[in-house]
Amino acid sequence: MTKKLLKLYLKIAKNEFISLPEGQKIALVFASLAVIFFIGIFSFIVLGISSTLPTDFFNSLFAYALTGVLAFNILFGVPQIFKNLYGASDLAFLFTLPIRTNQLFWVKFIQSLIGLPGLLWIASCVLITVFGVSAQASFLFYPISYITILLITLIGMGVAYLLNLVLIQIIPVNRAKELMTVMTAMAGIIVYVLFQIPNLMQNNIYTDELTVLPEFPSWIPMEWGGRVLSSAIFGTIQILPLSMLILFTVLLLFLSSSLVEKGFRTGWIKMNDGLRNRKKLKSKKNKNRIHSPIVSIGVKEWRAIQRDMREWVTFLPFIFLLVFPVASILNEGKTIDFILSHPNISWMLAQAAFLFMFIFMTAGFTSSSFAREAHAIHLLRILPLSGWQITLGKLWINWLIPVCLLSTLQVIASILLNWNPLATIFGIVIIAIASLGITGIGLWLGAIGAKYDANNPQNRLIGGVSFLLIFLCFSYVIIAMIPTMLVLLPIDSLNLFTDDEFTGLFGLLFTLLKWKAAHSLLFTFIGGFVSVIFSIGIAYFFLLLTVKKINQGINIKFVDKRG
Amino acid sequence: MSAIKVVDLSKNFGSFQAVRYIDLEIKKGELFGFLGPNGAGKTTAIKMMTGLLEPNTGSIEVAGTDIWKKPLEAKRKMAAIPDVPILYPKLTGREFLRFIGSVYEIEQQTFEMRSEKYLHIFGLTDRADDLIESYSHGMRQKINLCAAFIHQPEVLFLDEPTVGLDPKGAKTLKSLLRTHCDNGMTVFMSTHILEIAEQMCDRVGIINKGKIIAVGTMAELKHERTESSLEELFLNLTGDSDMKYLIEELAGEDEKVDI
Repeated sequence: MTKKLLKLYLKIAKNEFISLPEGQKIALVFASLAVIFFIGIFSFIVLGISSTLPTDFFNSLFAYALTGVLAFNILFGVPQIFKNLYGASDLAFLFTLPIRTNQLFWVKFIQSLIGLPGLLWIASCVLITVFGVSAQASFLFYPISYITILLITLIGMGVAYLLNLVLIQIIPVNRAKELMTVMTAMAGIIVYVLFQIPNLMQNNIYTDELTVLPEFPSWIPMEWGGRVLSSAIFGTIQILPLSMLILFTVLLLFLSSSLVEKGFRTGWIKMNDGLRNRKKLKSKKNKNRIHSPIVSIGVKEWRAIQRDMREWVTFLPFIFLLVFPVASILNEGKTIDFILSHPNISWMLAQAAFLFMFIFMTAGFTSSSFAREAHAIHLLRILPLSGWQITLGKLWINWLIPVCLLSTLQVIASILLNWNPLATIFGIVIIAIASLGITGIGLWLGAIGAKYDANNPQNRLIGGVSFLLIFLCFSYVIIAMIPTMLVLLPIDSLNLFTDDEFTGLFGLLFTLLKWKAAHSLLFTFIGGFVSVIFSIGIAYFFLLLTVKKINQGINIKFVDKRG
Repeated sequence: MSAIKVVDLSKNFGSFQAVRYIDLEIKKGELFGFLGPNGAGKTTAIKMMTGLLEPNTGSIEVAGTDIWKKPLEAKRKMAAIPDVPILYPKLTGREFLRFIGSVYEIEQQTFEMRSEKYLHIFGLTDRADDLIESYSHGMRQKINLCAAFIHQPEVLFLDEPTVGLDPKGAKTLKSLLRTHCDNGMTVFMSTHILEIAEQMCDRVGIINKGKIIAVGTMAELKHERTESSLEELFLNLTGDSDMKYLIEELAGEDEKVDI
């Protein structure tokens, strides 16, 4: 049966290719050429490394390279496997046929393997061959390295399958549609931890020598692979690590397949029937109040965000940015002592970091606002809502949510780092004002470049507008930083720097700070005033543009599922 | 005063003329059925009348207000329900009604009274606190109808309203529309089910290839022509031979099929 199904999929793939429009076929040819071009570039890099790196470092190098292969397979494998396991349109039909779930699972597994992991395996084999030829490796090296990479690829796929099969059982039925987000986050954490393992095991001890690559501990499969390859290059096979690698792969795949019945079939049912499960929310008749249209638009938006964990993904990178540096600071006693004894410095640095972070975060979050409406966008057109009502309704909620998050972080930081409560409030107010302007920019960008892809709901801006978002964010942060920092930076921070340390923008800021030292109250007031005027002015200008666009009609670009 | 007045309305998509200079006048309190074969221009016309699609020529007045000149004012007087009810999936039915109530700025007490009334009429009271994403197509259609009735519009546009409704829901809708029309509401309804149009509508308009080819009460249309039923009339006017063949086949004696 497995063979029959594989033949069927092969035929479908062939027919799909034949029926592709000419344009897409040409695009595929160009994409293939681009892949070959990149493999060529990487081959040159590999060539350089293999001819210059001492053989002592081969073990570490291979271990890192294999970690890279594993990371790619986990990161890119998770969505592909998710689609194959739960999103394939033929499953509803296949499950009605007398085919064992296990057989279907293995067919889907092979289908996934032939996709991106297969391509990655071929590319890795090309690169390792270049490495072998350049390093004049033994003939044995080539088959051993191809097998090792395949084993690592299978491990990556096994992890991706496990994530898919285990999480679908844990996640509540009514949240099943959000599984993809949870998995992406988990995959990101796993990959991050993978690369951090050597650092963590070495307790952050660094030397000035070439051995900058901390070694992997001996219990990591990639280290086994590294040992196998570094000895195979000289014509010897390390039986033990290779056997362990094979055994680990088999165990992982066995574990995945043992979860098939529960994870695959019931998971698919959850995904496809989950929405029908009634999630009764508490009846809040007393809270069933009529609001003004502006408030009700914001409330509606809040419900969409609050009840869908995919919406919170925008905040994930910032949480990563916060959590990991803080964790590494907490590892070092001296740094903690310094930070705790200098609350002014920690406050100042935190405000600069928060300003930068929240401007980018708010812009990304707000720009999703119109695409979030998805197919229900026609309601906004059909209801008696003016462009201003829609814009202001979206503005207040998209500004308030990041500000609430900022306030929480500021309060936590103020408790941990002994900040003055007034300074904490001051920091919140100033950054909240500064983020008003970027909220306006984000709304406008969302209005002109909304995109909705049901398979990738986080991707809500069309390509060109995404680049414009980054450009405008940088421009805004640079300009907003000057008056904001003039208000936020204490005068005594001047003592930390010398005159000739800064040029350009920072030089200007430094000069302004010196003027602030001379006329503290006046320059704090000017800084605050300019900050408010700039932010509100920018917000007003972009809100006007947004209203104009709403009145012309918002067009969301809906991405075809096949695309 | 006419509740809906359409003058010289047309819409082109490139070289294709979807709606060709149509004129329509619908009186206050009238239940008007809009019929036509697939691709005749029904949905395009409704979209232009509800402010979703800008016409190339012509004007549309809804309850005395030009929808393209004073859109907000016109929209306050009307409600429109599309054939596919796409709502906010992450709101509960009750929250959706509250949103609509807030947009139309209905008084709190009136809102509560009406929302409970229509939820009860459409049998949604028990499911009102469930998320809309868990609703079936028919339930979404019903909550959409509740939302439309909650602000008592002067004009109600319905695009294929019975699709997805169960027989009980369809019957409820039929009697509700009749009652509201008797109380002065005007309903403009497109449907492909001829029996529904025949039973419910005061007047019908038939559109084909973007042109209105017949307007009148059933009696008027039958008087002018020889056809005994709306089906025959519709088929002869539109020349939908496939449909005609299908209906003839269905109307014929049951065949026995050996299995």
